[in-house]
Amino acid sequence: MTDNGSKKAHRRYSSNGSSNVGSSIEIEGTETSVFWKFVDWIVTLDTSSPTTENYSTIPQISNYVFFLGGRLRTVSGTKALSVVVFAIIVVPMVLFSIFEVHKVWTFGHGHGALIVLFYYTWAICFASLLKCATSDPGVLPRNVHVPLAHNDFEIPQEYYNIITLPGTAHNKRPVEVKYCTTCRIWRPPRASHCSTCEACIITHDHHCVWINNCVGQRNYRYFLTFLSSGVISSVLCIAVCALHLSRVSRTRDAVPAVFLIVYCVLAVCYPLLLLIFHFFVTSTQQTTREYLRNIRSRREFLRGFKSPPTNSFDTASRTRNMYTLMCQRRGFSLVSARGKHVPGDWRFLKLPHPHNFEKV
Amino acid sequence: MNSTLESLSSDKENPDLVKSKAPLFFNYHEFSVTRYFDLETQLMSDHPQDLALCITHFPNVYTAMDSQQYFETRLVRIPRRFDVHVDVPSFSTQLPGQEPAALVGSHGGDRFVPRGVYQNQAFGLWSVSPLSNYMTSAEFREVVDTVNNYLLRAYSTDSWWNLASAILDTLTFHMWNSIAIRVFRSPLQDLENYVETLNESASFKEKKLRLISPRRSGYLSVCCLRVFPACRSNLIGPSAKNL
Repeated sequence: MTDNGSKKAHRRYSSNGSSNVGSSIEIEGTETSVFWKFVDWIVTLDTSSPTTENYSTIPQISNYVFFLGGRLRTVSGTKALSVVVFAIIVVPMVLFSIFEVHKVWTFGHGHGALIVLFYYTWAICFASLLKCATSDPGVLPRNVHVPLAHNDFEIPQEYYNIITLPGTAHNKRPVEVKYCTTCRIWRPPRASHCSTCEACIITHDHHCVWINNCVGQRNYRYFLTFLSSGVISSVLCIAVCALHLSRVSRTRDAVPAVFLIVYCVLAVCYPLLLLIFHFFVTSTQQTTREYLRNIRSRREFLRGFKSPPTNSFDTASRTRNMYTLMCQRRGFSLVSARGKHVPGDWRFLKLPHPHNFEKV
Repeated sequence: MNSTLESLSSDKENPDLVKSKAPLFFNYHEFSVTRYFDLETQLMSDHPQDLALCITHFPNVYTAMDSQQYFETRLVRIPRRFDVHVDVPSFSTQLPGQEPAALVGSHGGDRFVPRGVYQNQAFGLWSVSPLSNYMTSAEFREVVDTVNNYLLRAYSTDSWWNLASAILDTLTFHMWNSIAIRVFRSPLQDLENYVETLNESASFKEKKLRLISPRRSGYLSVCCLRVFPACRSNLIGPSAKNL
């Protein structure tokens, strides 16, 4: 065994300029009528009375809002663009059902199969959006690593450092671990604190304003499925409408088909580009957040997507990189909205504003 | 209170080790304090960095702050390590104080020796936690290895089952997962059962030890809970020795 000094030499620390936010609240149960309990069950805001149900307390410590007893979630204080996205998806399906299906179905020769395939992929797209936008992206519990319970839950100076630890034998690249002073946990690599949701998310890809939720380990697959099924259903819609258009003598006899073709061509662009981006970025074993952090210039992507030399997750195989990111295991929800807790549970406390020793 | 953990620019660095700049694993939960009640001098005072207390056990965040159990119990946190699996939760199989870069005395030692009292709790100078007084390295490794194996089965992407589940889930409008979780046993549920069985075992009950389910900590750490007597600066002798 070596002495204290030489051991410390191998402890890798570097400065971490984290910001300190947060305020102290106490969670207390109050008597409410059955009606208001039902209202709180339908929509649980941060103004709802906290109970022992997790969904009623999580809004007090984060920006999440729950519906139907914690079954669905979204983020408050945002533009709620997810409603627009839902509308963008539903509108063409309704128009397609009213104006196209009956006519194209009568064409025979496999046209019916195209229609069935469209509805099937559309349903997958809708279900994926619903799951991606309203499910748990992988929220980590708070206050699991509170170091001290005195002096307003003081955080020692060591906890403000970035810790460098050895990586895997085959990769040989070190791993960095940071302490989240808001959630009071040692975040594993790739986890990140989302300031919009006010929560740490495992394998945080990005906070998506269009789905109004974070994309993390537990809903990344749903996100990719949403994009890919959206692209496929749009292509099918364009194909069916084009077939309809080819069977009519005048374009004005199939105005809805023309509208749907234009609509789908415009609507498919963004998800298609995003899907291509995610294919490339996952092949380099990076999340969107990591890619944006590592990119040095806007034109860098023109030189091709490359895995940074410090990437400790890189498997050296593009296919394997894609698979391990796209098919991540979801596991249990780490803070289940539908679970219960006992009063005084630390995971649901908002601890006072942290300060380090230097500021005392 | 001051931090005593030092960066790579420490004067005490071993030149050979610094040259390689290879990080070594240590328990990143621990930290140091220099102002404490010294059990040897029986005085509350500031100490030099080389006599800083190493904080190796923590408040019990798994029970309410106003409960009796909160005051009677302490946590030893076992950190995640990434040299075996970087994308699957995996915990250190070494007792605190036995990690490659643990703070240990020149004489070695694998038992917790209290040196001072900080916030009514006794701590030593080194990374060895009080857990070392109740579990052997082999016992500890066996427990954590079992936990790690369950987590590997639950979170590894290297299985046909995972690929098939992902495809089936997509094709069934994401209903497959909801069905599968009710029909098939999850390794994470098996882990819960293992932790429950372990805590009911005579060995753990006799030692007043408990393993906190890693699910409770979001698989961020494994926490061992034990009843530790609180120490007061004027009553430190006997209670500190009981650790």
